Amino acid sequence: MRLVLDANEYIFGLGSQRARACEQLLDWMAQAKPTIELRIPRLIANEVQRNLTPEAFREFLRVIDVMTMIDEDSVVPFELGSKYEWQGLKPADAFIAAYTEWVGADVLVSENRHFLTRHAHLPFHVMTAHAFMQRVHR
Amino acid sequence: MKHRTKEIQKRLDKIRKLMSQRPSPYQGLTKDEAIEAMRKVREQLWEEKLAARS
Repeated sequence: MRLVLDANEYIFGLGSQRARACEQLLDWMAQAKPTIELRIPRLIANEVQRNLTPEAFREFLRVIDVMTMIDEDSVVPFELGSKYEWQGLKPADAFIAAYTEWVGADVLVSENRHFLTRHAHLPFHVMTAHAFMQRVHR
Repeated sequence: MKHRTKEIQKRLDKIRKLMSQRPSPYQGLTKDEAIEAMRKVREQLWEEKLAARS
């Protein structure tokens, strides 16, 4: 299974104001089997950087280094982002949707209701951390 | 595999410890309000990236 975690999952899972489900999701990722593949674009890494101290972000990059690699935003075709903007997403959210499609991810885990309410029209599943953890523990 | 798990978990715990000493920029906000604030930062970052490209 290929996953993209939205920035809010990292921020609520690691930042100074945390949500239990997001913490559990990241802890589960640490123990995940090699069949679970994590992908992350530069934009999400930059968002996480804005929410962590420099020392904490350095540790975050080490975690990412062990689990995956950061994809540059420029690899995603512009037209793919435009498609999601046409569907009503803001440009940056549209990019995250385009990136998720481009990497062929099965699931985008996000707490962002703008994704969660549009999941019927997307070529991937969108789930909150809570819903995702319920699914993997089923 | 075991070593990898241990290393990641150790670093996740370290990040949480470092961040728990800092006040949250989302203090006093509901979860939805915090997510909206995060989305504003995302849009701002995205605009900066587009401006740098053109």
